Amino acid sequence: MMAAKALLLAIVSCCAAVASEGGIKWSRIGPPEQVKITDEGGLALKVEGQATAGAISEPKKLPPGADAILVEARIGDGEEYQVTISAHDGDGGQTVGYWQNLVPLRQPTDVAALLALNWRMTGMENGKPGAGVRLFVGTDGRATSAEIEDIRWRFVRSGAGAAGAIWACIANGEHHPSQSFVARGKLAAVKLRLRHSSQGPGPGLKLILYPWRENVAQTRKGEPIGTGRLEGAAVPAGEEGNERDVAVGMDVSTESGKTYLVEVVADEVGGSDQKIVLWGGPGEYEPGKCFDNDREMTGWDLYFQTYYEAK
Amino acid sequence: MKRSNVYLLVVLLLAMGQSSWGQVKLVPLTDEIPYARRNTPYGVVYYSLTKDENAARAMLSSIREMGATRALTLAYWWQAETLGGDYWKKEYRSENIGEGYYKSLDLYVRISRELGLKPAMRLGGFREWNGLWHPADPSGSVEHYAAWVEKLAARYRGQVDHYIIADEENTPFAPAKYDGSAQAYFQRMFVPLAKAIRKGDPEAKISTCGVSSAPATDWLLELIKLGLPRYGDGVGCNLWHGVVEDTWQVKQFMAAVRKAWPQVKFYSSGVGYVINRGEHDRLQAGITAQTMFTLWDIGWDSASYYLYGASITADTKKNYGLIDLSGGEGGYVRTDAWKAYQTIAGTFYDRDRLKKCSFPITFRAARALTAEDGTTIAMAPPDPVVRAFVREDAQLLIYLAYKPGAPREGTLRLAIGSDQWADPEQIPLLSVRDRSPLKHHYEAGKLILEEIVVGVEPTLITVRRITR
Repeated sequence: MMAAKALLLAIVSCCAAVASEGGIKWSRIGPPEQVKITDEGGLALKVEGQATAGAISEPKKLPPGADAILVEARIGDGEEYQVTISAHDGDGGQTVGYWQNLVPLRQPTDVAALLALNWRMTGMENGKPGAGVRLFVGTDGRATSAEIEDIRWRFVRSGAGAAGAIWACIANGEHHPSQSFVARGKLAAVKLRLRHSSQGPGPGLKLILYPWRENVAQTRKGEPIGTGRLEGAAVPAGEEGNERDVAVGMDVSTESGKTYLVEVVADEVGGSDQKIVLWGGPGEYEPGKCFDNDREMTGWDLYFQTYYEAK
Repeated sequence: MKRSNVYLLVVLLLAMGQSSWGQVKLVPLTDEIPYARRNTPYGVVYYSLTKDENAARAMLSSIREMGATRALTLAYWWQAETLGGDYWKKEYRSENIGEGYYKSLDLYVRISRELGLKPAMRLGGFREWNGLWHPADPSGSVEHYAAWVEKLAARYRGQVDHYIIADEENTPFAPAKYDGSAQAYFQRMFVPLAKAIRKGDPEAKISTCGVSSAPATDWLLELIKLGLPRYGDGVGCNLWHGVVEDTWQVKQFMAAVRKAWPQVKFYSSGVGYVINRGEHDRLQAGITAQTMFTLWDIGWDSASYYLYGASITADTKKNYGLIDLSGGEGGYVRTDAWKAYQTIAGTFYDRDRLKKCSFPITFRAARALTAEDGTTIAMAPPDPVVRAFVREDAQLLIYLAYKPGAPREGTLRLAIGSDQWADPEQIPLLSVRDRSPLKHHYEAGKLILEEIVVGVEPTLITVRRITR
C-alpha cells in the first residue's frame, strides 16, 4: 500500500512539472482545459472570463548585476494585453517583472519581451544574487486563446542608453537612423521607442550592428557583426500617442568598452506613408551620437537602451 | 414605571453604549478652502470668447465648477484693431472685430475674476500673417505691435494674471527671416513686448512662449543667460501628456532652470492634448487625471489643459476637448475626462500645505495564484506610481496609478506604516464628492488596505487621523 502511494506521488509530481526535452519545466496555473502545455514546451491557452492562467517555470538563479529578463517567444492569436509574461521572486512569489503584449499578435509573431526587474513588492531595494526567480507565461485577467511557443528566457543587464523622448525621426527606404554606443559586454537586446506612421499593417525592421570605424560613413560600409529583427506585426499601430517601448533580441558578441553603431532599417513596403517613427531626445548620451544615414543629428540621441548577457 | 418600559429603557441604553464601543474618534477635517483662495496650477486653454454675457458666464462657470483656478485665452492685435484693412472679412464677422472683440475680452477677464479664476492671455505672433505682426501693417515693426500690447495691458491693468509672448518660437520661420534661436526670439519679440506689458501693467507676470518639443531645456537656458529674468517672470512649455508621463524629463528640466534662475515660474500655453473619443472615454479620463496630478505634484505653476471645449484642431485634426459646449447653457456635455480633472483639482491643491508622510507606505500584489506543484505567486505589475500626502495632520491622501504606456492593471495590498489612521475610503475618479469605504484591518502597528485595484485611472484614497 505504502509503495503504491509512493508511486502515485511520484507520478503526480512528474505530471505537475511538465517539461519538453531540454526545455522549460512548467507547472500549470489554472485547469488543464484552459492551459495546455505542448510537447515542445509551449503554451496553448483557452481562457474565458477574467481569469489568470498559464504556467510557472522552475526558478533560475539571479546573476550579479542582472536588472532585467529577456524573454523571446513566438506569440499568436493574442489580442492586446492578452498575453502576460511576469517574473516572480522565488521566495515570496511577488511580481518583480511584468510584460504584456501592447499590440495585437494575431498571427504567430516572434517577439522579445524585456522585463525590467523591480523588487519593491518584495520589500527589497534590489534582488539578491543567487536568489531564485520564476517566469510566468499566460494571461492575467483576460480571456484569450493565445498560443505561445519557442519560449526562451535569460537574465540581462542594462548598459548604454538615452531616455529622452520628445522628438521623432523616420525609418524608411530612404532614411536609416542609427545610434553609436559603447558596449558593456555581449549584446543581448536593444530597446527602442517607436510606432508605425499610419494605421494598418506596416513594415518590420532590421537592426544591423557594426563595429565603429573612423566615422559613420566608413562604419556603415563595413561588415556588420550581427542583426536583430522586429516583425511588422509587433510594431505599434500608427496613431498619435501609440508609440511604445519595444525590444529587439540581438545576441551579438560585442566587447565591453568598444564602440558600435546600431542601424535601423525598415522593410521596404509600398507607399510613401509606410514608415516607422522612432523617438529620441536631447543628446545626453555623451559617448554616442545619432545619425540619419551618414548625417549626424547634432544634439540628439535616439531613445534607446542596450542590454547585455548577465551570468 | 411599567416593567415593559424599564426593559425598553435598558435596551435603549445598551444600544447607545454599544454604538460608542469600538467607535474611533477622528481628527476633524478643516473646512474646505474656497476655490478662489486655492493655490493650484490647474487651468484650461479657452477659445470660446463671446460678447454674450450669459454665455460667457455659463462657460467660465463650468471651468470653475471643474475646479480649475486659471484660464488662458488668446489675444490678437488684428482682431482688436483693423488699421483700416479688410483682411478680417475672410476670417471673422464684423461683430467679432474691434469693439466687439474687446467686449468679449472684457467679459472673459471680468467674469473670470468674479468667479475666482485667474485669467491669462497669450499674445499672437508673426506666424499667423506670414511674418507680419498685423496684416494691415506692412512695416513688420514690432514697435507698432508693442504699442498695442501696452494698450491691452493698460486696459486690464491689475486683472490679468500673466501674459505669454507668442507661441513655439523655438522653431525657424523663413517668411520672417527668423531662425528660431533664443537670441532672435529674445531681441525681436520678447524684450520689446515684455517692456510694453510692464509699461501697461507693472504687476502682470510675463512668460516666454510655450516651447515646441518641450522642454527644450537648452533654448530656455540660453534665454535666461541672455537676460530673461530682467524682463519676465517665467518660462513656458507646451507639454504633451506623453512627456509628462516620462516625468523625469520634466523634473530634470525644472531643476536645470531653477539652478540658473531660482525665482522662475513655470507656465504653459497647453498641456495634456489627450485625444477624446466620446463622452465616456475612460482612457482620456485616466490620462488627463495623471497629467494634471503630475504637474501639480512636481510644482508646475500654471498648467493650461489644451483644449477645454471640444473641437477639431486645425493643425492636428484631433479633438482633445473636456466638454462639449455646443449645446449652450443647460446643454453642456461634460466628459469623463472633465469629471476626472474635477476630482484631481478638488482633492490635490495647496501643495505647500501638504506634508510628506513620516511613515512608510508599502504595497504588494494582492492576488495569489497556486500552481500544480504547490508554488504560490502573487500577480500585479510591480511599478505603480504611489504618492502620499498628509493634510493638516488630519487627512492622509494616497494616489496610485499605472502609467498609460505600459501594462495597466493590478490589485494591490497596501500597508500604511501607522495605526493612527482610520476610516479609509476611496474617492471615485469621476465623482469628487462621493466616498466608498475600503476593506481594511490592523496588523502589527499598520493599517492594511486589502485589494486596492489600480489602473490608468488613478486610485485616490483618503484616510482620517485618529484623535490622540
